[in-house]
Amino acid sequence: MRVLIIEDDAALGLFLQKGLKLEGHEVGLVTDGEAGLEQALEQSPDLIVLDLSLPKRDGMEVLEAMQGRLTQTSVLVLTGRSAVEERVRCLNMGADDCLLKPFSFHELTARCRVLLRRREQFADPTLRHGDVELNRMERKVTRHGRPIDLTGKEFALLEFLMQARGRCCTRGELLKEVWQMSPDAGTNVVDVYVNYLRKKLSAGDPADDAPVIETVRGEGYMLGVGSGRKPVSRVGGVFGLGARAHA
Amino acid sequence: MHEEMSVAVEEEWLAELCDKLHDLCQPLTALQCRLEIGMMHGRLDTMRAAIEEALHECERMNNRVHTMQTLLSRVLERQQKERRS
Repeated sequence: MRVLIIEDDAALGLFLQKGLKLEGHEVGLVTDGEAGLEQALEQSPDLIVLDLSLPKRDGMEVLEAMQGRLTQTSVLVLTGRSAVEERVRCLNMGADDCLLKPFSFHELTARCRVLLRRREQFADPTLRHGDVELNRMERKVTRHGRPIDLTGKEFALLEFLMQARGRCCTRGELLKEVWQMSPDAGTNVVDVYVNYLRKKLSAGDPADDAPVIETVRGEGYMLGVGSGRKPVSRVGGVFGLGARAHA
Repeated sequence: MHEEMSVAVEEEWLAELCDKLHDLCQPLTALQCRLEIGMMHGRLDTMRAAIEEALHECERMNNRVHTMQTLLSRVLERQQKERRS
């Protein structure tokens, strides 16, 4: 899950970032409301952890500005004020949950998991990447509207790459998440299945020759620009991933 | 008139106290989260790093508690003066 923390207390922000990264999330951190809103609109993260007392633009203003613009993003508000009216106002303005400071990190992560579950339940079942569409409910994949017959593992691999939305997925990560194997397992099963997928995605139609899955040399695989969608630019972004060398 | 002023001053102090309490929540949350994250690793070096950073948060909390104590003593002093007069 891609999480954006908007918290002006540097120490608290860093600890939350560290902890959520340990939980396996991709976490960005900004320390004022203006930058927070800008990053939120640009990156459309899955979850925003938003403090209310912020410089430049406070949390309420950020919530107000995001209303109706980030329909796929959940917002968890952090507040140090115990007034019920404030929390009700936040929820009315689009926040999905409020957490009163001081709180336990375990409670924060538990609430994040609840929001993620809720989000997945109501999410659009179709993942799209350029001309490729994957319907998670019907377990169907199409390219240019042409149905593509995939095995269970091929489907799971493509689904994982599409969920990563242009982020590079390492072989270890794919082994762990798609095959439930140790990331250090000495096997080339990922490369073999990527090959199968590439062949199936490009077979039969000359318009489908643009590569959907690109190799990131020495690291892993990502969905590429070839299928009509630019990978998410992370250079200098809050999620802190650097530029990659493409094969 | 005097009573009205006293109520207004008390309300002002209460609001200030609320602000200070809010400020105290920041390092307290950071302290708790930092220690919990340190425990998640279960390694000696990460726990040590967590304790060192937690001590810094304790220092921040001490400063804020000291500010609250000063504020409260000012309120109490004023109340005592009012009672005497």
